[in-house]
Amino acid sequence: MSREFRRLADEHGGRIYTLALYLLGRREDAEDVTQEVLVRLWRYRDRIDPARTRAWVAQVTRNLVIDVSRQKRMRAAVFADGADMEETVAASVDASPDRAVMNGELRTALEAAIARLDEPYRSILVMREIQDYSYQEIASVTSMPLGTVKVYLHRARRRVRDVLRTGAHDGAD
Amino acid sequence: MAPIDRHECEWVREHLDAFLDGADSDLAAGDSERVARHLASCAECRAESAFAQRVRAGLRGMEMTAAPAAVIERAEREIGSTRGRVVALRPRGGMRRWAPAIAAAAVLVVVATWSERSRRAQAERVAVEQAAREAAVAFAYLNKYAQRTGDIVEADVIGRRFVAPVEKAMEKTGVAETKPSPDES
Repeated sequence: MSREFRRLADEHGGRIYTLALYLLGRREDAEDVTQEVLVRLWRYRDRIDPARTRAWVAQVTRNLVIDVSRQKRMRAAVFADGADMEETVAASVDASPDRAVMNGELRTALEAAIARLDEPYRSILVMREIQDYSYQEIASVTSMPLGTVKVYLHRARRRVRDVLRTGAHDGAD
Repeated sequence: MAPIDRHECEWVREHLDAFLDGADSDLAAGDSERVARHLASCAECRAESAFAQRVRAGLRGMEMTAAPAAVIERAEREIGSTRGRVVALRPRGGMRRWAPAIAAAAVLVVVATWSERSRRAQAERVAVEQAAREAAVAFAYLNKYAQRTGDIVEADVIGRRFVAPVEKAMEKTGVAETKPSPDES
């Protein structure tokens, strides 16, 4: 069991943890979700279509994130340390996106900008841009039509650019 | 130098992301050419396009974070400790949502069997078989949904929670006695 489980964990663990971390913003919660998804993945491994495993993993992760968020009575799209994030954006972007790119602070600024997105913008952006999910997979994970996924992604990208430019405070529309 | 057409700038920025999708783009060929033409003549939109590309590259360059080893070990321990035991049906999340439908399916089965009680044995057999098929469809749907959400629903739990009560009700009504014997089938 151990070797096969490790192989599954190596293949999907990072994907699960990254998505949970971006959606929840709290390491401990992301770890709990990752553990639960890995357990479920193991139990269902024989029943999941191998071609759909990536989508299955993202779907279960997202569902558990929603459960955790509800249980903790917090919005799924809010970083616990949002105030710190706002300062990070302001400091790293410094009114000039080009400077943020040039001085290597883009990653920090991007993380903060992503943290400003509400759901489902955040999930869709993370899955598409960071985790390289196809539009079709994202549509399957979010149970949305393909065209709707593209519209949300378009708005999320614009929103990230706006935040990088201005450090704006409100979430995506 | 031609004056900047602000309406055209707005239109281009609205379609910029689709344009930058390249091979994945669902922008019509004519629209794609329109964006390209405008970018060639508008420095502001060209800068916006360059910025958008840089942000995309930045996002795609962000690495995934590996799951902590301790989390993988905890999951492994949990799997080891639950191997072979029956996992209870957890009435949470998606499962709870389907509980009324499951209950309704069970009630349907019972009602269908009751309504057939006064008919002849052959008619009762048909009804029971039909009810069993409907129940099978309901359970298959439940299992499919559970698999989607990753909830665990063990077959024997379904049997204990849903099938057994229906069978009990059928016994009470006397319908179960009309089932064909192995010799008949």
